[in-house]
Amino acid sequence: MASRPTVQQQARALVIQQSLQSKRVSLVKSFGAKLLATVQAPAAAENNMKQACANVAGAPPVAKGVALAKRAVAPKPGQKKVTVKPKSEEKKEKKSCSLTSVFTARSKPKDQILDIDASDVDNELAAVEYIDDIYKFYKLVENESHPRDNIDSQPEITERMRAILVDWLIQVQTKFELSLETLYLTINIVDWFLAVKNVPKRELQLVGISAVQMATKYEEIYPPQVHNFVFLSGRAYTHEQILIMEKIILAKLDWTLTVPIPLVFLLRFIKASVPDQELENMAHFLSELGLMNYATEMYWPSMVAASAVFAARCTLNKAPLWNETLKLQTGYSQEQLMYLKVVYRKYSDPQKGAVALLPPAKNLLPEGSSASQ
Amino acid sequence: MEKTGAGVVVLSAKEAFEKLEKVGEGTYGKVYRAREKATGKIVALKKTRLHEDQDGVPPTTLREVSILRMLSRDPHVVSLMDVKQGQNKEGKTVLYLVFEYMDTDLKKFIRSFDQPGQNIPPETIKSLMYQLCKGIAFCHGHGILHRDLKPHNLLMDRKTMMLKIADLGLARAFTVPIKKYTHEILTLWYRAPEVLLGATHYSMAVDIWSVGCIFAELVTRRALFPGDSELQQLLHIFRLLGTPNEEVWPGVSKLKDWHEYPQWNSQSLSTAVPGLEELGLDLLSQMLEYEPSKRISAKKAMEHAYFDDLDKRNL
Repeated sequence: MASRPTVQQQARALVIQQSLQSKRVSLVKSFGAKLLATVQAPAAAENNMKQACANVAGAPPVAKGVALAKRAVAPKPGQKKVTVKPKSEEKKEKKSCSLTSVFTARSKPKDQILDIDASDVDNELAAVEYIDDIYKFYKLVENESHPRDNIDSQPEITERMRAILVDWLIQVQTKFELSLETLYLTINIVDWFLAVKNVPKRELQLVGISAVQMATKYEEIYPPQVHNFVFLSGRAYTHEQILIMEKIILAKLDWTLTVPIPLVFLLRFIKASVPDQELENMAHFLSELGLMNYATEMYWPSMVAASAVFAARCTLNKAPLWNETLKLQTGYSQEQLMYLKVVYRKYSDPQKGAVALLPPAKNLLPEGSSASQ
Repeated sequence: MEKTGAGVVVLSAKEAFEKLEKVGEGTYGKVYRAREKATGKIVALKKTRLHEDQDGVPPTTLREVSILRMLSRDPHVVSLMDVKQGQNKEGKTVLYLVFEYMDTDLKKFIRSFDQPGQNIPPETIKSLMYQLCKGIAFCHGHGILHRDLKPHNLLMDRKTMMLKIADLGLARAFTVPIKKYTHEILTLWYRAPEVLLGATHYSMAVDIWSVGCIFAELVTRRALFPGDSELQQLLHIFRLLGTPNEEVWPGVSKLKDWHEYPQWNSQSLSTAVPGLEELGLDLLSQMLEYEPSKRISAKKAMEHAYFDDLDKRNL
């Protein structure tokens, strides 16, 4: 009997599936839609639901639609308000099991707060003495470090175009073996620039190339030279155009590249999650998926990172889903991350094709690794 | 002169400033003392050529400006007031970094005590060291490694004895855990042993080693380890502190550039830094610990008993 495909394989299959579909961007439209759908087959999801319902039978009802803390979702100008209509069944059936109660039930045991740096006291690379100062500072300035405007203000650029650009930038990162820091910074630069300057459609890739060039100079030990980027663009842009765009971007961004990107929070929150390799990979996968979706830019980088870790824990059935250590380190409670639940429910709706309940595309996995469930 | 959409007139560097004199030269260009025409304020202009024919803005400039945008709020980090673009005679783009003007640097200040027996007053050393530790603690607490601390990169105001960290061209923001960075950093004399021995991963401790070397130099008015090559630099260190081994520095023999070196026993620091009080020697010894994880942090250094009798109110 063939072994069950690994999380990484299934995750990869999802990515391949997206790139093959003509409407791939709508698939990555919601970071949250990937939440439980990434790995769990519908049967497994249903099983968990029943199990959790059994666990909470007789427990006081959990308030639905818990309001997110102001800090967590303060919308930027132009942010669209998402409202989810309650289904009629939910109104009628008092004992129906909401996803909120599932999450709450799975997180019940009160746990102690772990000192996640205790084992690193003698490891100077862990910067234990400064770690709290550093993250306090990141939290303080993160509001300034992500774009405030919506892509709607761009007359020619759509979210779909941006997603295609990000997809291409991820390929660039892979090709040049660039660091994750470089990738996240590149996308931060692109989004900031799109928020402050109208970009013609024909120049979007040029913005991406100049952004990645700047990010490599900032992050990498040996940044690729400009002629590499000229070649990469299929000679669509000249050496001079790339460097002129670099100057324009720097001037518009006021040279502010030292910003807390979601990755800095993600690394910390993964550590707080006491991860195995599977959880770490899943959190990174979901976080990078979030990069594809402009809507995630509306949230603080720390919240995007916390959501990726939360979603990874949900996907891999980690118990508890959230704990006091994670709450302390991320600054978010489980309730504050519940907007994921709303998206999951939205995409479980038959009107949306119930895509959140679809199993992963096993036929896209490498030969010989498809699983018989 | 350029008009923005809002009708605001933006002056070029040439129009906005009057160059008074050249005060220095760096890797990427010259530094001038200049007067801002509108206010009469004296500033420092750091001129950098942008190489459109090569790779554009140099990584050092990109990092320096970006990091200073974040760190300039600290009184012990030099203030970057503005960034202006201009063109030189050949029509090439030139970048001017506009800094607050400081009338000297620590290298010149140390040299000014050039008469035999003319030492920097101990209370001045203590004040300067405290300010340096405070500035570095601020950098480290904001996730920044300086990586090029030396007297020349520490600016001073002679009147107020205020010290400010400058020249962040080699600085970089780090993510935790700190990953692999280049070891082509730091001026030789102030370079930490782990960097000299080819460590691919290093931390804030490299800055503290430099601070220790500067501390000793303030007392003796000469460099503590004046090597003229990487090997000579290591030998200078080993002669004073003893040749390291696995006992005093676990993992040292596994570093990339470790070889069999002559065996020296450690000397007392008081022989190399005569005139430094007992508590100062204790702090210095903690700054010059071989094992990076055992080296004192800037944050802890500020709490050291050496600084107990210092009036910190205006620092």
